[in-house]
Formats: sequence, structure tokens, C-alpha cells
Amino acid sequence: MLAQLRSRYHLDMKSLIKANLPNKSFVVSTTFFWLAVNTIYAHLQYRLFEDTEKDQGWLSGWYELSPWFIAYIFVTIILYALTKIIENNHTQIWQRIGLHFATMVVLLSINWIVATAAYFMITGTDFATFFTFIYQMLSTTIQLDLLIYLGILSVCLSLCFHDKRVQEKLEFKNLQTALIDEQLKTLRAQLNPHFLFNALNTAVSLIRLKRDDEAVRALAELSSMLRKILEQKNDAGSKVKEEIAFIKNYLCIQQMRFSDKLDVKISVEENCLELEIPNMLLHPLVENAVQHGSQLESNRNLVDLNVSRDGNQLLVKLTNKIAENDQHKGFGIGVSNTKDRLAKLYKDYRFDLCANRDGFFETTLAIPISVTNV
Amino acid sequence: MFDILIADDEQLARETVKFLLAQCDGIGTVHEANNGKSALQIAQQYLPKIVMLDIEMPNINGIEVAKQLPDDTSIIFITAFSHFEEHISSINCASYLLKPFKDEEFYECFEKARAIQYKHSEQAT
Repeated sequence: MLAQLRSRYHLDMKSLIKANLPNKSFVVSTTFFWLAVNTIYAHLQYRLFEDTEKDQGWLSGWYELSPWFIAYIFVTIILYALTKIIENNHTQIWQRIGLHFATMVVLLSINWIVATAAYFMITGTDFATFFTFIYQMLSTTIQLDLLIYLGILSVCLSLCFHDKRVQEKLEFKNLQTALIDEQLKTLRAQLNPHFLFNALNTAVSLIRLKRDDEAVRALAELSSMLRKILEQKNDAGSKVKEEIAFIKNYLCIQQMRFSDKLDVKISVEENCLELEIPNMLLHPLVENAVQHGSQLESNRNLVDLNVSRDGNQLLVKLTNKIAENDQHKGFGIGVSNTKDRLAKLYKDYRFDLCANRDGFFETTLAIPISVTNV
Repeated sequence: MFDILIADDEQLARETVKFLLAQCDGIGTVHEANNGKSALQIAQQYLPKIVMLDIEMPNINGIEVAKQLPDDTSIIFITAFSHFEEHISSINCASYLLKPFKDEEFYECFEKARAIQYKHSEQAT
């Protein structure tokens, strides 16, 4: 039976019960409650039989009643733990009702036996009459015991549901925090703060140098980038032409900054422009290509982006120059995050990165064209 | 009159600093470098007293360049990264200017560096 339970819960029973036992304040308040009930009941009994032949004194009346109510302290604590186990591990209502019923039968039987034994010991009654006593007692108090048990069960269930709700609220709050973190991370990945400050600095520098037309262009390009990022809908795809426009905005600003060392070549086949692809999939790769090229000491970097279609595949080929001892670690979402993203989005895709002998770095991406595009 | 070195891989950034320096009196020759290695070569050759350094540069970054400059050189780091500020505390005579900056911020930094160099030259004579 224990082995079955173990395999049912995949857990050590000891740690399972330990994990579901009530906290100290519950145990203390339960103890006080049942001792108070015992006291009130003893007092009422005393007042009822005061100055009659059944009067046995207040204290001895209290002692005689104590086995029944002290047993309820343990029943309450055990029932609380079992209710939690049943409610947290079983989803089907009939299964739960069945288990609650079985628990009730077992717990009440143990309660009656243990409490009666304790009563016999306190009063010095002969154990030969043990089962007769239980039978007689049950015929008069079974309804009251059932009522008390159901009362305890409803309190335990309410506490269990309350705990569950608090836990769910906490999990929801944690989830919300994680979501905000993730959104912030995505935003940073799309437009890393370092680039944003450099772009603003480019505009400021051009204004200082009285190159107003270029400053206007830099700010207009940056505005287009910000508009795409801030106005995009969550999880929405983007057309290739929109992604390319964003990349052109970015490269235009970078060329203003590095006019002496950055050349750009972009060619996109006409039949690819309207295709839908995941939002901001290509930009991190281009950003990576520009950052690696910025490590070049004297040579100009060339970022060459080629987008074409091969049957049901969209092919992206990106080439850039790299320095001999390139130590750049990359920025933003980076190549590794793009890899993760692709693995989540597609079953069949190709994403290759390789350094050629002649100082060029080649990034090749092949993704299936989504059904909506066909 | 002190020689000045501007080391930044961004041409526009170098042009801007040159433009701002042109508004000041008493400036010596302004040298330019677009990477860390050539910044060090120029520094060894011309011994500029004030060096304006970008941090992210090809081959040797600005912080490494600063560590190899003579102790009495005034260094102004000009960068868009704010998280490097804690790394420069160990470097003598260094100040930090975040891009984009206001003209008065630039001149305040520059005048401080110049005042230190005047003090050094007075002590030497």
C-alpha cells in the first residue's frame, strides 16, 4: 500500500506529509480552540449536574471529556495535511470525494478507538467492556461526531483553497515580473541603448558641425526605427520590405558615424519583399556584422546583405569583413539568441556562420516561407 | 600650449571634438587616432598632455590605452557606455564624459584637464 502511494505521488511519504503539515500558528490556534471547547463543554456539564448525584466536580469532569476533544486536535492537524495532499494531487472531483470519504472513515475510527482507550485509562474502566462502550457511544454521538468532522473538513478545505489562491496570485505576480523583464530585454535587443545614444550623439555632432541636412536625416532615420519598434504588435510578423527598411535606417546612421570605414550593399529580390517573416529576425545579424567590422584597424568594412527566394525557402546571405584577431563579443540579441529563436520557430531551417579565408565572415540563413505567404 | 590627442574609431566623433577644441584659445597641435594601437604610437611620439579617449576601439580599448600613458597625462574618456565609469577610478587624472554631451560639459572637463596640466608645468619650472 505504501509502495503504491509512493509511486502514485513519486515522492517519499515522509517528505510529502512534512511539506503539507500546517504551520505553527495553525497548530497553536487549533489546540487552543479544542481546549476551549473542552472547557466550555465541561463547564456546561458541571452547571447541569451541579448539586445532583452526578456532580463529580468541575476538574474531573474536564479530565473525563478531554480524550474526545484532545483527539480532535490531532484529527484537525492530520485532516489539514491530508486535505492539502488530496486537493493538490487529484484533479477529478469523484476521486477527491472518494478519498475524502475514505479519510473520514479511517480518521474517525482511529479517533474513537484512541479517545475511548484514553478515557478508559483516565477513569480506570475495565477494558473488557471496551467495544460494548464504543458501540453504545456511537449510537448516541455518531451524528455529532460526523457534524464536527464535516465542520473541520470545511475549514481545512477553505484554508486549502485560500492557500492555493494566494499561491496562484504569487505565481501570477512572478510571471508578470518575468514578462516585463522579457519585454524589456526584447526592447533592448531590438535597439540596444548604446546604439541609441550613439545615434543621438551623431545627430548632436552634425548639428554642432552645422551639417543640418545630415542631422535632419539622422533624426528621421532614428525616428523610423523607433516607430517600428514602439508601434509593432506583440508576436506579429513583419514583411521582408519592412525589415529591410529598418536595416537601411540602421545602416544609414552607422554610415554617418563611420563614413570612412563602412560600405553597405543590399540586394533583395522583388518576389521576397511582401513575404512575412518573424519580427526583427534579420536586424541582430546585421548589427553583429557591423560591430565585427568596426574592429578593423584600417580596412573598410563591407556589409553585403542578399535576400532571395528558392522555392519555398527564403535565403538570406550576409557577408562582412572581420579583423584578424576579432575579439568582439557582439551586442543585443546576438547570434546565440537568434539561434534559440529559430529553433523555437522552425523545424527545418539552416543557420550557418563561417569565416572565409580572405577575411570575410559569412552568415547564411534559410527559413521556410510561411503558409500565409503562399 | 599643450598637444592634444583624440582617439576614437568614429570619424564624426573626432570631427566634433576637433570643432569644439577649435573654439578654445591656447591649443597646441591636435592629433587623431582611429584605434588603440595608433593612439599609443602617437602618444609615444608626440607626448600629448591631454588625451581624449573613446573606450570601444579596435585592437586596444581606451582603458588599456590609458593605463599605458604617462601618469601625468590628463585623460578624458568620451563614450556612450555609462558602465565603464567604475573601471576608470584607478586611472590618474581621468574624467568621464557621456555621449551625447552638452558643450558646457565638454568645456568643463577640458578646462579641468588643462588646469591640471598648467599646475604640472608650473611645478616643473
